[in-house]
Amino acid sequence: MTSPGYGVTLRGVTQRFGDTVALDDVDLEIRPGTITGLLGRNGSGKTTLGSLVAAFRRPTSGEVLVDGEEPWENERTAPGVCLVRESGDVLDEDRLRDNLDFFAGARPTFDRAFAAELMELFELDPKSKPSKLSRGKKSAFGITVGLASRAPLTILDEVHLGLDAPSRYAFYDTLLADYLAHPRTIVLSSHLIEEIERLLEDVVVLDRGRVLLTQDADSLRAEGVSVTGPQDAVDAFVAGRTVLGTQRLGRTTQVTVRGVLTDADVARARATGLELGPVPLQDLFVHLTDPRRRDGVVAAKVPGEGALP
Amino acid sequence: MSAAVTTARATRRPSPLAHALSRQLGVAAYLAVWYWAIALVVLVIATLVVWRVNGSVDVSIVAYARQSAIWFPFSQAILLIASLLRVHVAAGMTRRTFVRASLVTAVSTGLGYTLVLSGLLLLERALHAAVGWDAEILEQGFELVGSSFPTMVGELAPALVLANLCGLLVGVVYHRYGGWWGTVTLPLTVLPIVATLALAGEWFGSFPLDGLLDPAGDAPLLTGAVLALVTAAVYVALVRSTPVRTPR
Repeated sequence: MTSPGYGVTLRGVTQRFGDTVALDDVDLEIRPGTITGLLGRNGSGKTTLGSLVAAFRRPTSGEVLVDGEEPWENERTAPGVCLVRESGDVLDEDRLRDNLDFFAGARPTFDRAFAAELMELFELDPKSKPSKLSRGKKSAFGITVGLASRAPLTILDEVHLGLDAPSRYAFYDTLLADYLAHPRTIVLSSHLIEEIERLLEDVVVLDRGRVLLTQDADSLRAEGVSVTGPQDAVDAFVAGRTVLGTQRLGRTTQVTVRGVLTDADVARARATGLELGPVPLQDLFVHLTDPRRRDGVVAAKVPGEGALP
Repeated sequence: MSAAVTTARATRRPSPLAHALSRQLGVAAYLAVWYWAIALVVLVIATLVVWRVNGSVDVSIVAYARQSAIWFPFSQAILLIASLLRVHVAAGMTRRTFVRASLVTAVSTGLGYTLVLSGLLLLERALHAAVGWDAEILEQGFELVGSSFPTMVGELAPALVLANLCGLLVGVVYHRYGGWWGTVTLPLTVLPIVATLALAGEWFGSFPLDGLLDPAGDAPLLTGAVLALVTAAVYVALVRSTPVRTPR
């Protein structure tokens, strides 16, 4: 049985840059053949993780495996791993079409016709040079190379930066359509969680170089619930649950809790006049990575600041 | 093994080494054509100017091109690292492939420039002889004893090949350790080419070393070969373990 992409395994991976610990004893599995969202605040270690998987660098300690093998100087896995960084690793002074020729020659799975379609979609002139492009167009060209490479493991690290909204949505739609037609492993790192949420099958949240959670997106979404109502009733309902955040406006309180509610829980909440609602992935992410919560300043059931949305 | 890889194997494409080599040699050939085209024009103009001023040209004008034929490919090799190493790895090829392709390119470039320079020097000598001029080399420290094409190539090749290898070494040290260390270590990374030039010429005229190495003999060729091997070995070791830096 063959899998439609490369899986990734990290075991006890630590990456230091001098005194800075970018990744701290990370254990992680990325399932082959999924779109995995790699989420984290600035400096959480997302780009470093991508660099290790793509063999741009070696970890200070620990083990990185791609498709079961160490990726460093691995002639078999190297052509199948494509990391597209916001910085754009392209031939700056060569025309875009010459860049495509270069990447097509290096990537066995590169689809030149698909690249031409993407160039048209993003209105990229094949005769222009990357060094002369705007930030958005540079991002679009990075996306073009990343998607057209059809690598068994494609890591797109903040590739949306500088793209206008229509281009971003064109990117998301194209990514999904191509992924369905050519299943492979795609790791998508972005701060625009609301926009990419619908694409994700698995989610990895990094925080200060550690894995905060790794879970499939559907079950994660199901675990986030907002409870809104009078303060006393809300406090009673959330007692003993994992509270991610609390907002208060007058006598009304909204609490975000993490955990699956049973039918009995739902019935009890309704009986006491509480409103239950879903929590978008982005809100869950914000609550989970809130530095006050992380540092223990915001404890469960302690009212937080801020008004209700 | 993944399905994507199975598909990949069914697709015909050049090997990573052939692909990297074609890119690097292509750029080197393109730059060489421009370099020698410009050099030829400059050499012809310089010859005409000297002839108009002096009435004859008793010096070798082509010999003056040696320094630029050393340092232009040297800077070209530095740029090769700066512009291509990161993109090469990002395109899914290994450092091993890059090392092999860049070494072949460096040595080929050095030998190519040597062949052209030797040919031009011989052509100039023949032309000068035909009109009754001398072709003396005035550059201090540049001795060209050989008069045949093979001996001339043997004398010129060590410096011209090492210039390319040193350029690669300088480039990877800058890439790996940054601008500060790249600059501080320049005396070390450029040492092989400087040493070759010195040993092949009269730089050590006032030192006891003079006489130990006969410029007309095999010593410069041998020392050049040893220095080239050492330079290449250090370069290989540095590239094979270097992280890919993020451009600022």
